Amino acid sequence: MKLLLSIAIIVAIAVIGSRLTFLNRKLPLGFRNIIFTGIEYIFIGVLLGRMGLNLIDAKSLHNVEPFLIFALSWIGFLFGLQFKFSTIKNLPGFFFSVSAIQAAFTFAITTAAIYISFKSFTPLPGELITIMALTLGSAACCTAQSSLAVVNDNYRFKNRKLSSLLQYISGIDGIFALGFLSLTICILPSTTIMALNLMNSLQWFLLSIGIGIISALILIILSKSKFSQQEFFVFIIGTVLLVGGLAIKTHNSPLVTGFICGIIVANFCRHRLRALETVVHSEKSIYIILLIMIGAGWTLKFNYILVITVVYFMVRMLGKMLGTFMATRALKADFNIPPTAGLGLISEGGLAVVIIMNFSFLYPSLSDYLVTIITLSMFTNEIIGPKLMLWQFENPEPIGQDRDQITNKTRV
Amino acid sequence: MILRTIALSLVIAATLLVKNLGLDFYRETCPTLVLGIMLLGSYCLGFILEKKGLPRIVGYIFAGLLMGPFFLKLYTFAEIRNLNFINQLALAFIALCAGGELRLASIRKLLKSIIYYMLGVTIVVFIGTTLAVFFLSTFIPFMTDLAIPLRLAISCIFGTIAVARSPSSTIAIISETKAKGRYTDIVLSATIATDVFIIILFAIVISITQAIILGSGGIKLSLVSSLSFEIAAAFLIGFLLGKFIVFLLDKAHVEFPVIIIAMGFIVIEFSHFFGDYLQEAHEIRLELEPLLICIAAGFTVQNYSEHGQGFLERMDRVSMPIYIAFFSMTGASIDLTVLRTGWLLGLIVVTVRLISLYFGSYISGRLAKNEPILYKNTWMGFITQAGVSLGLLIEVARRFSDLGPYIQTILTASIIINQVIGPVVFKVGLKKVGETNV
Repeated sequence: MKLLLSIAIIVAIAVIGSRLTFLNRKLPLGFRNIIFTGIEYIFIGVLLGRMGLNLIDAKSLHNVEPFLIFALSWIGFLFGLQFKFSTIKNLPGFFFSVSAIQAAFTFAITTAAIYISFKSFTPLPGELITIMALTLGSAACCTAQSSLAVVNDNYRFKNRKLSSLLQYISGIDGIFALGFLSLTICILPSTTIMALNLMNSLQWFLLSIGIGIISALILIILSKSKFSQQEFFVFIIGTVLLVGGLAIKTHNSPLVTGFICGIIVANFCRHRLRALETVVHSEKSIYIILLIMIGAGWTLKFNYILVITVVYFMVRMLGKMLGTFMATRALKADFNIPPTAGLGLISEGGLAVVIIMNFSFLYPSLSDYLVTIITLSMFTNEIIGPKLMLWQFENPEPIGQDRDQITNKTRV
Repeated sequence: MILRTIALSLVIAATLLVKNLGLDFYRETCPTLVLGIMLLGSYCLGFILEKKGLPRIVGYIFAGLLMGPFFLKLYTFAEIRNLNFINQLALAFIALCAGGELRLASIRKLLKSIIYYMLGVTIVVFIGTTLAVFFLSTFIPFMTDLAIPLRLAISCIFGTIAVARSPSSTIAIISETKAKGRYTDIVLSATIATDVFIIILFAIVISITQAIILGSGGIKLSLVSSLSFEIAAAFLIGFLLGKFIVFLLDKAHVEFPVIIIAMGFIVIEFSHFFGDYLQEAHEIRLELEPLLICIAAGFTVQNYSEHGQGFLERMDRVSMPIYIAFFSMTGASIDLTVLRTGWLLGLIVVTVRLISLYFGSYISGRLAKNEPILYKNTWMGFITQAGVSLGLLIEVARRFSDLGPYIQTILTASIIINQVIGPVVFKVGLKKVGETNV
């Protein structure tokens, strides 16, 4: 009874939400950003979940696991589909290098800070702390485009190149995050063998690649001959289910194998754009459902984890700022980039949540720590993100009421 | 076709590798993987068989069976049971489509034919199968020693189950062949109407049989009245749900297929609540209502709004994965040990049913003054059997703990045979009358 009711509520909220949340509202920038990114769905999840009405209880969450696995591999697949080598090669080298350096720096210092914090506060084994720190490090790399979108929608500024740089970084650094996550799970792939083991890592690596390749190959073969849109929908759903199912059966990451599968499809399938269109169409609903599920399964404890959350928030901000500063100064930009430009990249977005959800599948007993850190820091980041973004631009001109009305009319 | 065969082999090989090379670490079943295998594997086999002239759904059923616990063992019965909620959802979706296909204008034109087919075929099949089983009862091991009234009562149960049909298979074939026309409308409408009628007939027969077995003398018809009430309530709820769908289509621009699926869940939940009540009050457990509610809802959208055609088109866009999953699960749930035990008697029941269907349809069609091409071929659309028949059988087995399992074995075998041959013959029928559009 609860399972079906829960699914019905979640699906209904997700669908209606996917229509409402991405609309422009007359709210302060921070709150508009919260609604834009759909963070409020975590709190709806909290309301429905174990900390609230308990309508979505532990049993219901367990029963909807197949959907969560599907959703994770769907999002991994979507990111992979955007990774077409020829397109990436043609992008400006300066932008790519700045993205890579800031992502690597943020990953490194967040991982180190989180490792030290957990080591100081908890008696957990070093290997577990390592995997949690590396996962949070990967999540810290992610940047959402929402802050820039909210600011762009309301202000006009002269430094368009800076805006392009920030947009580029926030568009691409999810790929670095997934790369770091893959590396993390590859190094420590098992819950039972926590010491470094080359054979174990090699097996994980080959399995992930193998699952991704075989699933992509099936999709490529199926789409080689004539097919209808309905059939293509079956190919996509079937492939994503297969890749996620095989990943979870072999204790691999559905997110990573979906990502690998997506990369192969992006580069070797003639129908890449059609696949991308099909996958993007359902992205919003899937993403919102994931947010609700993460909220429903979350248990907030008022202890040292709140201190670690503050550490994560501060260090990530520092990483983004210093990483971008070092990269732009070292690579000598031909336009004005303020020293604090990295603060414009503070908005964290949905991929960070997805990375934590993926972690929850592989290490369920540790998920509460990471969910708390990500949820609270993400909420704060989305609130302050647009203000920090705006701060990077000199003399921003607010766009008038007329423009806003026109924009809204156009949307309708 | 070669590409589909390669893809099918890859799906099977990948899953077998994971299972047999000791890479299968997951401690529990994995429904995500099972669904993935089913969607891709069944699609490929369905496509291959379609090229050989068979309906796709036969391919989906065979693929489910082939990859299931008896052959390739890519999944177990436990894993199939775990997907029950997907199965229920798919059934609700198919029922919505079935209701949407019923256009009031066509029904009005065909009302006489539909009533003749519903009553005529029901009477002939019921009497034909009942008499055949009664006369053969001296050769059926578990019936030889029974008294004549009891033999007749059990034969009536066989006759009742033989009347039941499968709206889901019918609608799937119609959707696959994009069939349109008088023949299609008559088969679909008569199938749905018969599935409602069969419940009442079943309640009457079961009450009589129970009275004979218990020797109480009196027949309690409370079961009949409560079931009739339940059917009426299901139609009313379905109408309201249909109106709600129309409201959503008019006022809220939401993702249509997802909302429909969510409603399917709500309907199923409500029906379970209703079913629990019925079980407590009358000790009967039937899950007919989700089907009826969704059919009524689909019918309301089609006939009492401007969204009829759009509704069907939108449903059609997402229907393929749902049909594949549903019929693959049907195939995967086939228990071949039952078929091994009861195939001979099952085959006799199938033969008798086919003959009765032919004569029933022929007579009904002639009485309704249909064209010869219709009344000679209508029987071909009535063969499929699935969910409702199996549901009734479970109830028989539960109510008659001594004799029920024997009846269930024989009739399950016959339903399995009908499940496989039904879609094939229906597709042939549609082609013969020239109503396919692919």
